[in-house]
Amino acid sequence: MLVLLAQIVLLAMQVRRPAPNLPDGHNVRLWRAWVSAIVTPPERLIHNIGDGTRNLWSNYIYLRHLKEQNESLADENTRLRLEQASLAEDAREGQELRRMLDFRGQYLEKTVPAQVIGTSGTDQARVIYIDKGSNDGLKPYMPVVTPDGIIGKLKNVFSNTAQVLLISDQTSGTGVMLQATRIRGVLKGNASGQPQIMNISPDERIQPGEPVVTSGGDQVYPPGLPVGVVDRVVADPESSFVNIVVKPAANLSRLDAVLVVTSLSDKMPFTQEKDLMQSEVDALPENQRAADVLSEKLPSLRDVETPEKTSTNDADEDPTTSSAADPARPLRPPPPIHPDRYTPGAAPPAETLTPGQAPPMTHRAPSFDANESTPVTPRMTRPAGTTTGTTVANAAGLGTATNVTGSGTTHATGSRASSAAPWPIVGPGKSPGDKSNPASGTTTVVSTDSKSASKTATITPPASNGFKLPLQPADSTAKRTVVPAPDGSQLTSTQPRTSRPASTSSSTGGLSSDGILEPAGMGQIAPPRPKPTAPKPAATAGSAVSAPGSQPAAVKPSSTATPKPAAPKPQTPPASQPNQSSPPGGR
Amino acid sequence: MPLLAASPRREAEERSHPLWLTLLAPLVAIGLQSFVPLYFARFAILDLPLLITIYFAIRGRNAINATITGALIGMAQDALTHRPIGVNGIAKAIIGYLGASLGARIDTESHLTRLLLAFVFALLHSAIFLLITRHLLGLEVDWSWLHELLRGAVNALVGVALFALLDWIKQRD
Repeated sequence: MLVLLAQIVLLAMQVRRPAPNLPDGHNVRLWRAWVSAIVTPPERLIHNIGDGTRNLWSNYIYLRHLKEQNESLADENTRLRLEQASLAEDAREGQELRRMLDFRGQYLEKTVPAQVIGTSGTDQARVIYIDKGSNDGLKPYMPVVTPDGIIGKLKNVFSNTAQVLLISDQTSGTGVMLQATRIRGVLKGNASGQPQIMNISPDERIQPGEPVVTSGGDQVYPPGLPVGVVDRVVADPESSFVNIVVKPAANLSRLDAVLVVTSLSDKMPFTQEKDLMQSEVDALPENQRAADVLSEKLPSLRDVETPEKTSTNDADEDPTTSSAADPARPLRPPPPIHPDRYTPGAAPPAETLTPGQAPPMTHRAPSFDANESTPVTPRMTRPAGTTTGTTVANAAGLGTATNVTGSGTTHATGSRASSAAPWPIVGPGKSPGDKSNPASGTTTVVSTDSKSASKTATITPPASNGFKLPLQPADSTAKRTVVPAPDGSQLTSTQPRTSRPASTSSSTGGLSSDGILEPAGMGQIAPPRPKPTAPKPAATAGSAVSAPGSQPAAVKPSSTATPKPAAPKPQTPPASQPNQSSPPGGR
Repeated sequence: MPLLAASPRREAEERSHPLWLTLLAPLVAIGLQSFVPLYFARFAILDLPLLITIYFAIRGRNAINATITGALIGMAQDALTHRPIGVNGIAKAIIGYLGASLGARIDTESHLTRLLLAFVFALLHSAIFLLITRHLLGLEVDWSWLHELLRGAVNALVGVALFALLDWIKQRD
């Protein structure tokens, strides 16, 4: 009974300490040192005998696979260097940022290798013994790691041996962090020896397999060292929190050689820096080859996997591919499938056309030229001396506007941004390059032949074969002013409320009683009627004249315009007018 | 009943062990208990120091000596852990006292008797260890009745073989 009583008192004295993390008392530590001094030398002896036998076998007897092993290690070394090079830039950037923010990183500066020579002998206390002690520079609470990950920290250090407390012990504590979600916690072992992160909020999204690393918060392990991966999440029966069971990265039941971290540094060690630079140098040829391959591919935008088309006809040559071969040559859009009279080169020459003749039956296909800032200008030329009414077609989304010049050419300008509709659709918005004056909304109409204006005003354009220019509907909100024309007729100038591409409808198609140009029909307008000639104002003429391909100019009856307005044609509701010649798919 | 009767005093004196065996056997047991689990983790289910304590207790039949022997062996086993010293010491001291007390009253030469005693003392040792760890130290213990029964059975079987080996060593000496 006396023996039992003494042991119970001894036990109570050890448990009742000011702080649980304080080392053992002097007497207790002495007892441990005595027992350790008796038990560990035979263990070290047996371990050395075993290592010697293994070395004898592997160094002198079992050398068959040494060459293959060397080659495999060299390949692995090369692969690791390349991987390290790819991470070098990120590492340097991280260091620079850390330096700028005055963060102090921690690197493993010095480590002492040690052999594991024994355990505690019981599964209730998870500690191991190593063959290095205070004589080798070891001190308590130094981290112990392996290449796979951390395993524990030094608990008791003796002269020639040391006790390592594993992370799977109940009394251990390691500051860890989930690498992906950055959730921090304390890693401790449970009763069965499984490390788990304690007291995690159940609201956190934790996935099995997520890596766990040290956080550095315990001031023992440097941050970023691998700990393990998430195995599963279990509920804590004593609280509302959950515990994350972690599968250690290092095999804690099969430990042989470990590293004791004896010194940490803020700067990258010299050997590590040297390895980093060496890996960058080794990766230069690989990077150069990758750059060469990329530069070969860059000038050509075509896919190298697709078979190249052999063009036999120059006319069918795809400008994109031809220009792609020569980087200096600008890319040109492919020729339209169905060119229309707005496509350059598709319209017949002026000598072959006669007034009133129906335009050639062509589809209006969009054609785009990325290098041209101005859109395509379809030409509808008329004989000299005739005047044409202002025909302006504005395309919604296209911003196409048709300008009428004194030479009788009608230009339809507009952007090529939208090619969905075969016909330019009237709509709001100012087209790019629109030369119309948004403030006045007027454009001078120039007519070359004033005498024929009256005649032309009454001429009803023949039924077209489907080529009609849609017009911008009358802007009911636009401000209208009636100005007298030089010949006595009234000409209404329409000032749109918003900046719009100036648009006018054909005088024959839709000049209403108040002078507003109205569309002839939904998606249809009549060809322009010749207008009487009027003196050409020098200032405003320039705005009305637009070269092919130039920016569209709003063509509206100007207050200063003197052309004699034609008699307004009775309007027909768009719905009643048969949309015979409307293009397929047009609005 | 003759089988359970205690042997005469002279026979008991013949059962005293040599000093070197009394010192070496516990150290070897503690060393093996610490070294073998490094390569064979399942070995931790055995408790060689406990078997040595039982053997010396039932063979010596001196309660005081057995109690002190058990306490020292237990404390040495605790010294290899980071836990407070005394947990195994208390448990093995109790086992030593009970073993010596029973050895003085019954015949422990039979293998069957040794098997039963080793099994019972292993269970008792686990219970005492659980009591001290949970209620005195406040630590969790992964307790499983099935595992403890299995532990007791394995220790009993190994104990019978170990007892026979120690008897053979003593006879040669």
